[in-house]
Amino acid sequence: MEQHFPYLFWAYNLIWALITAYLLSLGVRQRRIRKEIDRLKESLRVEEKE
Amino acid sequence: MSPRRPGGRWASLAQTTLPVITLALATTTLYGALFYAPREKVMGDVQRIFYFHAPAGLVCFLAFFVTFVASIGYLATRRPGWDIAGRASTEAGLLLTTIVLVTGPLWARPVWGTYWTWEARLTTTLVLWLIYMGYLLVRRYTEDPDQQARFAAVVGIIGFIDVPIVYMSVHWWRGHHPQVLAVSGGGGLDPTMRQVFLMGIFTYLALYASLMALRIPLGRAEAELRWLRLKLGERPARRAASGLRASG
Amino acid sequence: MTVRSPAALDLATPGTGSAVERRRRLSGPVREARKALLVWQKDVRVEWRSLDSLPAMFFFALLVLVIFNFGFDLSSARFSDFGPGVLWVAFAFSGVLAFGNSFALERDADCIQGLRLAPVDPGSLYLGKLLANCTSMLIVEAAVLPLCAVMFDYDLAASIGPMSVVLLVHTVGFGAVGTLFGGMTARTRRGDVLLPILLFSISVPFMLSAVRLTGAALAGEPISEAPAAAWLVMAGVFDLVFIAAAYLTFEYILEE
Repeated sequence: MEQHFPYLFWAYNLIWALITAYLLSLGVRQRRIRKEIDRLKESLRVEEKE
Repeated sequence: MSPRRPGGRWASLAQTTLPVITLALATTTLYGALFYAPREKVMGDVQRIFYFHAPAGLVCFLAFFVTFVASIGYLATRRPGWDIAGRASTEAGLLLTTIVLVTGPLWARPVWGTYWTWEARLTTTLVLWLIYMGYLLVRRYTEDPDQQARFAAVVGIIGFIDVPIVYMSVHWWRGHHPQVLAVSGGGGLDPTMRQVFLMGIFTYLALYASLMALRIPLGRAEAELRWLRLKLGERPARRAASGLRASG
Repeated sequence: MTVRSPAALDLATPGTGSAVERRRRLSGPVREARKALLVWQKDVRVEWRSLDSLPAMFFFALLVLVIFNFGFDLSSARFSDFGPGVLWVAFAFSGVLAFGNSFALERDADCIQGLRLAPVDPGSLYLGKLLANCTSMLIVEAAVLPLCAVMFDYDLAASIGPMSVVLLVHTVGFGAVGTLFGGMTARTRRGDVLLPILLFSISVPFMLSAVRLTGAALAGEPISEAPAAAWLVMAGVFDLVFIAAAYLTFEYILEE
């Protein structure tokens, strides 16, 4: 296993890195959209009061 | 009509349990790949990458099939749920395809001495990656959301129809995919290898399900945002009209 | 004097009744085919009068050939080795011009709205456009091939039969996908960039087949025998499958 360890190591870790990167991007998008939705809901509420 | 609130009981249950299941399966597969499966005769230990590489290829195919079905569903019913599912499945499929394209060269390097060969399966995977990147690009460059969904659906359908044709033509172009692995020459997969391979498939299936469970609520939130924007777009007009009436 | 009432007319007998009634008897598909041909005629006429895209396509294809000649040392190699690849790159890029232009010309005076309102099936519209695009591509191919024979000192007459078959089959296939995506990308941002991205990735099997078969034709290999015949069959199937798929999905592209 020693001679091929670097390849196995990189293969396994790159897979997790890719998955993590994607999940992080989902999280960032989610947060941004949530913020925007809350902001718009707030202005909707303000306008309904008027 | 307001879009349904993203989430709900089943969705949040899925969002927590599926990743946990995925992690458990992944650990089992890792153990299986490194210790349980025997050493391959010809290639040695680097062949163990196969257990992370090949199942991803199969499940990405499933993901694109789901996109195909969702695309047809959207064009037939125009329900946004289909569009959201199609997009989520394409993203998940692209992630899996990227995994195949990354692990492939890492396997190829010690075995064939080069990172990339225009070998049939890798080439097919690359073409698939390009086709479905096109799906996402079309979405990115189309302004109108309804048009976006329609165009993406067409690409999702045409792209999937192309998949078997690409597979066939690239294989003919290249001759056949290299030898089936075995511990004792010739033959098929050794039973222990087959077990780990199956484990790998379950792991990627669980990963796919997790990705869908996480991506779909995001899609619903995007739809809700669009709806809110539309609603707010109407408001100023109404206010202006009532303002005129008051002063006139 | 007896006056024949319409009711007495025997509509089952051909040749009876007025021209209007005879036309009504024509089945739907034939009528739609006629409309497709009308669309084809319209596009060809427009192109003939304006000569908008054909010259550009021709010169672009020529330019690709010249650039390849400078990029690689083609003078020493045999034409049948590099020729197919170079030719199809040239044809592919000039095809992209055709597909892009085919719908761009409808943007003028909002003609696309007129087409939507006209009593034409979207599928028939697609077929008409497909025929027009294939016509443009075939004209350019017919013009470029002899020039190629001169530039690269090759005897084209020997392989003209199989070459024509290969060119026809693959132009139709490329056109099938190109027309659909051309219609789509005419309405997106950066459509000029999106079109080649979508088209070339989907058309990979077609390109493989085209290059392989053109090579066979140029090398004097008989294309009616295996393995070339297998490729030809696959290309034919590819054509039919994609024309059908595009025919069915074109209405979703055309929609407002």
